[in-house]
Amino acid sequence: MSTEQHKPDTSTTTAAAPGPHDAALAEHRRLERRLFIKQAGIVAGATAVAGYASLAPARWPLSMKDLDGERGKPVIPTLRLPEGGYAVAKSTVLPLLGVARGDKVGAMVRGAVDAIGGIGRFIQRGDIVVIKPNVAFERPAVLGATTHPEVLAALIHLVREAGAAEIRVADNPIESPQSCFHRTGIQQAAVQAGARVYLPSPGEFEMLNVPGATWIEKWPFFWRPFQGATKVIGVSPVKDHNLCRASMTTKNWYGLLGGRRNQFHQDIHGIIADLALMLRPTFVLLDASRVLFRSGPTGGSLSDVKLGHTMVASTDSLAADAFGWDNLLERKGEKLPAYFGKAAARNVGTPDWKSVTIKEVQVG
Amino acid sequence: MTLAPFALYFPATMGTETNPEDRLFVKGGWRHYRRTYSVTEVRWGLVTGGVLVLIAAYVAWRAEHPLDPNLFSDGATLLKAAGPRGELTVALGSAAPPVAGPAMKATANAGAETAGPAATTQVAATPGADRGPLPKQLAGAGWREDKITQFDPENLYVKIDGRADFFRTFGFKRLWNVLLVSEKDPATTVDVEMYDMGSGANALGAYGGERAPTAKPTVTEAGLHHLDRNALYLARAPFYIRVIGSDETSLITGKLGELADTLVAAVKGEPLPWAYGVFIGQMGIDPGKIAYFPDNAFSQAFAHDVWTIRPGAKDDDLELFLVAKDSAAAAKKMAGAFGKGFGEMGEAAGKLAGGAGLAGMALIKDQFLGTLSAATTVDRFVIGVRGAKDPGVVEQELGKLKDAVAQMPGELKARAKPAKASQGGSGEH
Repeated sequence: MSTEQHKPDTSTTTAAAPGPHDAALAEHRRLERRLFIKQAGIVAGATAVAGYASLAPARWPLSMKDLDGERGKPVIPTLRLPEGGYAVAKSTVLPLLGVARGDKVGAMVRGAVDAIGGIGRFIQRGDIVVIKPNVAFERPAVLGATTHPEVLAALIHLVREAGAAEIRVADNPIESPQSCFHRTGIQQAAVQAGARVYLPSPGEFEMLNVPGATWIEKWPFFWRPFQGATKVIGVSPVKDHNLCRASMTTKNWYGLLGGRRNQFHQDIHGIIADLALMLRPTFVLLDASRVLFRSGPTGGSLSDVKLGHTMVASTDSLAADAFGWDNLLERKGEKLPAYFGKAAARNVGTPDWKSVTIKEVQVG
Repeated sequence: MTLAPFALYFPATMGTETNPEDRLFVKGGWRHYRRTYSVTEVRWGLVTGGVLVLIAAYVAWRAEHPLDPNLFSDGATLLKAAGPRGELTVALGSAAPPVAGPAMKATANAGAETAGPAATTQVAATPGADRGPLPKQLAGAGWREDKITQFDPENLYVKIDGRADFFRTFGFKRLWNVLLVSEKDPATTVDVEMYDMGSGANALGAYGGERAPTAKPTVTEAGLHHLDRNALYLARAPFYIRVIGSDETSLITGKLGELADTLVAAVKGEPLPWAYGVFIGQMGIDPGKIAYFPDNAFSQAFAHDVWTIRPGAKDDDLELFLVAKDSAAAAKKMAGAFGKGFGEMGEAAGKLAGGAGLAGMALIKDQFLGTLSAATTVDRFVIGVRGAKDPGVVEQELGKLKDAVAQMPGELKARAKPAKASQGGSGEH
């Protein structure tokens, strides 16, 4: 085999018609060109879009310009409580305030609720009910700084009678929640009466949006017990308070807030007015079986506590609290704390309890 | 429908001939590939995987056997130790420690009740940890100490939310708190709260603010204390000590009496402030009627370091006040400021006619209360009166105070120094 045989015949090759290999090569090149053009188009388009998004003024559509860094902050999902809260329909005939006096806690709780229409007006079969007692301090109940466990137990029994599917007891004491629930007797009373106790942990708070609130328009809220809840009842003691002068049913909702809530003490009246806006309960129960009339809100000495022999139920927490101010803390004639006026200005109730219908009963 | 666009991205699959470099498994053109693998790489991969498994196993084992068991404590064990009479009857979840409680039924919400630590931090120390000024052997026979906690001005609200500002007003520095639990009845407890107020005057101020009007303090050279039903209160410089029993049984009251003796003996204290010498020693005033305002007395911004007494009955508004200054000139200046301050809330009501060496002293009538106020000086001391019903009362009561100050023993007078500039509390006395 000579080497010449292997020399390419250029004249023949040039003149020859393109073979299948050349056609495939040409097609391949054509496809590569298209590919290049398309890829170049994609890159150019992406560059143009990215350039626009990053350079366009902030007010232009799809602009990602973020001069002050505000747009770059993570958006924390917020929740809202139901429109209108957990209130039942207003009654034009039933009293707004029910006041029961006596010695037996169970009879007083029932009497006060009966006076405003009975538990059947508020709780229906299948309801999931959140009860919010005041468990703020690690103190025995006799010292009057917290809701009395007997009152809570009587209320739970009443709600169970109405057919509630589930009763949840929840509060967020700042001091060790386990200890507070235990030493106040609330834990034992709730569980024995058939309720579930919800103690707070960091994962159980969600950002709550309260439209119109001054301080807590967006604030961490003890959300877990409220998941699926259909009714909410507040039950709080009657207490003197070092800063706001009186802590009753409206101030009680403070215990549902998370975060560094102690900063709100700088404007205690403002935050209580916000709380009235935040939560519209089904009804509230003012536990005046004992009244902490001095050294509140913590108390300590039995000398600071007197027996009140009274229970007040109402669908209007401001009216209940104003009644408590005049008749239970016995500060009639003294000017109401400023939070009453601030809350009333938001149309969440009336502190003028004398203008509402009231039914007083003697029980037990 | 054509697949051409997809073909653009998978050109290798379009050829009719088998290319030795074709992808075997990863057909996508977006990542590199090769047909072979390295046995060494596989070995290294297995070794790396094995190490990761070992690390995971160690973490799981260490979680079960922590170096510091308290690290994962949620306080439930403490509760169990301090639990009530009933026995623990329910475990709340398989992996969680039980929470103490009497006869809890199956209605307990296991998930909720075992919710981890509180949303806020409790500053806690285990027994045996730094107990600060808390005397040793507080528990005594039949009692045991439970948890010890400490709080500073920044987190005092954790312990007494809503009441913390009261103590901060009096210059609060630190709180040590220990819970005593009866071994006979774990539901019977005594809370000992020891507030470091920075000075004796501040401690007495806090003590006075929390004392029931009917309480009768016992006076010792180094402080005051009194028992009030289920509670014991002591002012022993620089501490204000509050001891709260869970009830009023004899078990509690007996323990409170024992603690009073223990604390009085163990907390040394310091001599009562000079003003007590004037009010108690010179005038015979009930110590329960003495109050101290480190700042902003009578809502007057300039009024620091002010001692007051209410010598009258419970509902009597009459109030006498006393301030020590460095010099007579400083005292005169402050007395003038008091006169001006009172004048802003009332109007001139003439001058005192005579007697008790107070003749010519200007009187101010409060525009709302209709009572009389006045201030004057004795040497380098400012004395004054508020809430007097008529000039006769001013003359009589302020006259007593004037005499007491004028006749102050030299030793007492030497101790009567103005407090250092206040930052939420007073300095030395």
